[in-house]
Amino acid sequence: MNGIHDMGGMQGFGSIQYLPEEPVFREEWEGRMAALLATVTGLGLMNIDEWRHGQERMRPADYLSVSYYEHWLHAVVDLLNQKGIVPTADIEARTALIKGRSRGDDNANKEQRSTTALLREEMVPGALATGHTSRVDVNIEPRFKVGQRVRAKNQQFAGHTRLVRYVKGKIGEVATDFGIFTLPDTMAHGDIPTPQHVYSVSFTAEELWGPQADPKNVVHVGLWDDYLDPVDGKVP
Amino acid sequence: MTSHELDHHDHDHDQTKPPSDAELRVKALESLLVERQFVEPAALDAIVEAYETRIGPRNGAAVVARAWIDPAYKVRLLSSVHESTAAIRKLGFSGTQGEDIAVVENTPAIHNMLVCTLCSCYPWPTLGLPPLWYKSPPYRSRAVLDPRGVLKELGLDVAAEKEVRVWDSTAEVRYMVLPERPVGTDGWSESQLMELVTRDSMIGTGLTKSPHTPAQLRSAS
Repeated sequence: MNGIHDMGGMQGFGSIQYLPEEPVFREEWEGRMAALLATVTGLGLMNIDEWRHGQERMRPADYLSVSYYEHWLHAVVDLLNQKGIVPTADIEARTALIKGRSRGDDNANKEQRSTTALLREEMVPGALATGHTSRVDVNIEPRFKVGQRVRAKNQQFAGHTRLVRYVKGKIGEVATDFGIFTLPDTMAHGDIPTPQHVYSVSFTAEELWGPQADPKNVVHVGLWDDYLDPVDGKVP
Repeated sequence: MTSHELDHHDHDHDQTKPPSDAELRVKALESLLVERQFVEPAALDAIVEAYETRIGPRNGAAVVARAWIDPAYKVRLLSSVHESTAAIRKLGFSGTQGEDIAVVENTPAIHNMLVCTLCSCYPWPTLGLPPLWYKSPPYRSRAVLDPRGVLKELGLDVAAEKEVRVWDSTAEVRYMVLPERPVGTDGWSESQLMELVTRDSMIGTGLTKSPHTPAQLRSAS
């Protein structure tokens, strides 16, 4: 979707608020949120593409005004509700209950371990070290070869896609074939793999931004077979 | 990511501050997922601890230092995404948000830099979780449009004759930059070299440390 998240090439956001050092999590709840995301994706309650799209569906004004981990929270709560795993009404009720307690009571008498939990402490190191690959082990011919000129499709899919706005209709060159991966556009809508080749496609800055762009700048973008068309006629 | 977020940095652990809505909702979410037996709190503690203590840019620095002293390792790191991922795994770094990691080499002719214009994709196993500025709209929007301007803003002047190559992490391959080995480090050990590798030098928005700082002269002598 042509959403607020698709920021490449936008202007007007001001200067970069660079900090040389910062804590990994600025507040305790951010770390808990990161761990909860690892839990729900690790257990397969949602896939990463559904989760990304959950953030993209935020109202643009909210997307820009809330802090980073609130995007994660919004998407996880929304998807757990959508999938009927945890209704949002339960979240609201529990939030109100916790708010009514005094600070410090939240963890009182809480059991740290549970033999019946799906994700247990001893599984964590292995799960983090393995991750969850989007590669698919099937044999599919690539539609394009390294060195071939391709045009990114000019299409406006309203769902989740990784076809960034700033390359649509632009011509680039296939620099690398990364292999076969699931397609985010269908994974985010029904968990459908649609395996296909993914390439690193290089675009010159002049092609992307016009003749005044620095001719020495190049942008590499990861693009799926379905996002690309061949360019007829080779340039000399 | 917003300036408001940066402004409130100093009040992080102020116990007198009422909990924010986000904090309360995360507690509620945790409480329900624990109660319904999806996860035990000790597992959540272990995940937080991993990202706070083990999964960070020291890992990437080890990869870079190894590539600087071992030409065969460097060749492997730069050959294909299968090979680079395996070479990084060999040093103990793999997994979530780094299931595939491609390494891109800075040379006298090419300067590489990373961005994720769509969200915040970043090579977690080697660099840890991304910093706020990397995830922020100003960086995400302008890194592809005006990379030299962004680098200049971050204090890095790239020579006009160099190609600036931006890697937008739109696919499920994560990138990391292999910075050039600083001159004046002949004979340095792997662990000494590691100390010169900064997080930003592996994002491509900063330099490695100079080998001529007093601390380094002491440890190198």
